[in-house]
Amino acid sequence: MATAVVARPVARPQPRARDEEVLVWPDLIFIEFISALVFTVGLLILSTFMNAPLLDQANPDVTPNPSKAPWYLLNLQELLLHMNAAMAGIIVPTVWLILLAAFPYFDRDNEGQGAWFATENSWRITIISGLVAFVGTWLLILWDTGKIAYFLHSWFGLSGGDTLRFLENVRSMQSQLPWPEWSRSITYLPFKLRILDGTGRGGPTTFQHLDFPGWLVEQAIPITALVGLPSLLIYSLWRSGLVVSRRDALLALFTGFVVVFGVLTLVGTAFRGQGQQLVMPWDLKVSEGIPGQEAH
Amino acid sequence: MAVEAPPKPTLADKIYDRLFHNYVWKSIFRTGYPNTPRNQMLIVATNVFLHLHPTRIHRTHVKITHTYCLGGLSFFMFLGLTVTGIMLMFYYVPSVERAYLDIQNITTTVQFGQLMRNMHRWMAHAMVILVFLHMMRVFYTGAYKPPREFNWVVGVILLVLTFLLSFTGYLLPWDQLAFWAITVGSEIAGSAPVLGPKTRFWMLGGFEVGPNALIRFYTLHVIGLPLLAAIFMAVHFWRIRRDGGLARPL
Amino acid sequence: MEWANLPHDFAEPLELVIVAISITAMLGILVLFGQWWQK
Repeated sequence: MATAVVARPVARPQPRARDEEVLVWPDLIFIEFISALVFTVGLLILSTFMNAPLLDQANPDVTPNPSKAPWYLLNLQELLLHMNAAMAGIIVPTVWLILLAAFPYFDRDNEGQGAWFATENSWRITIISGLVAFVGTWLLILWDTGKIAYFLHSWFGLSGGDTLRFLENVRSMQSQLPWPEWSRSITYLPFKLRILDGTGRGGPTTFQHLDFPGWLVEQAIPITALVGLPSLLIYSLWRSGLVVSRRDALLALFTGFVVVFGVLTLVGTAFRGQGQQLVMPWDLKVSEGIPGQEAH
Repeated sequence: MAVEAPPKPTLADKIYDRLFHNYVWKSIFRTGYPNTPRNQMLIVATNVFLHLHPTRIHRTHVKITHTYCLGGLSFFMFLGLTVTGIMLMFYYVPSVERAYLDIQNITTTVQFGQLMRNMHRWMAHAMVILVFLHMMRVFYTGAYKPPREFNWVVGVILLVLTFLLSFTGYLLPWDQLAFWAITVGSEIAGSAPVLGPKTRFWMLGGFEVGPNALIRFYTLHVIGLPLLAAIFMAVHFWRIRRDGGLARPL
Repeated sequence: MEWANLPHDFAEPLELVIVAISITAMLGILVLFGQWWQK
């Protein structure tokens, strides 16, 4: 018999509130029609005045500099500049998509549904986590491209010299600290685990030897930041009494994600120039990579 | 109390009657003109395109500032992309010798070709943005809460399908922007642990972006992914009706 | 129409920014319409 042994609660639709209802025709249909009309006309006008780009024909021998992925993948490409390729390109987005899909199974309380910012501190939480994510992401990007060290040096004359050089960006922790030679190749398996290392490329782990400084810089620090910083945000909001329920925690997390996505896309689109250098948008120059025409 | 005689039918009334009360017209449009509540409900319930909607809806869900029509607009963008896409398909062949020249042909020689291509590209960007905004709206109004949990998951699947549709379409013009963007994208895919290189090989039909990749991406873009998206959209829309419409405060 | 082509260097960021601004404007028009039509 396929009946449940234990009666588990199943969410059922709410009963209809018939006295609060209006007819779909015309009230909803008309609104849908107007929105379709506005967007059609708006996009037609846009299409009349702005052409879709078409560059030279595809040529595998000529690489434009910078080569960028489509804009919705630029946030991943930006992440790629700060951590290991497998992490940035696959692990982070997959983990995030699974987390995103799991939201409703974490927050099952029906309170505050059906209206914008209906729970008590929701507006404040959204604003605070949005601001923190915005400023924090910018600061992290600026730090990791060495701009903060440069800024401190050129505006305030502060310089840590050689002793503090390892703090300039994340990668310099690998090269500027006096790591002992043995830490760059710690053998932890007596055989080479080829199945996981199908790429044949190097990396902090080659599934036999561990390059500890490389692993630290490419995986440990990014993972700590990606997991630790949102946790820190939610924890501090909880300690301050703003975050009370699971919904509040998800609000902070989701808002943070949206803002981080936006900042990474913005930086990847408008602020990365040749060689993926951080430049101001008006200094953005794309070299078409044609041999003999590099000076652009 | 004298009852007034009904006004004599004018010429306009007689023409209206001939046009809209004849047998042929009434065989097509079987409900009356929707100016009575009965007809307004009937037309929504009996029309194949409109019966996506319930006949009545909670008054807060009609306000634009509740949903901003984002879900409907995303679907509308999908339909617009299908229409402009079909127009472009008449003039485009996915071979590396012809693709770029076909796009140039579309944007110069073909009547309204430039307009169709522009519409297609801007609608594509718009669809990605609108789908994202729709996800934000659903989240901030708490419309993922029980019993709507699985519909949110279907929505995330649709988000991924939208990104994939955009990605596969990006390669088709076969210009430098397209070629190198997809090269970068497939490099990112290829860096996955364990399955990365195999996935990249399967995606591109080879070790690098070339003729196999073009035909693969074309097939996915024009029929494979749209069919999948249509199936998931059917599930998504059905679930909304099944869950009693949009989420309401308790 | 030659003048409708985007400048080569900024094609990508510009197309995204302009589309995003257009969508915001269109949604704004919808909201204004809603405020006028649905009192």
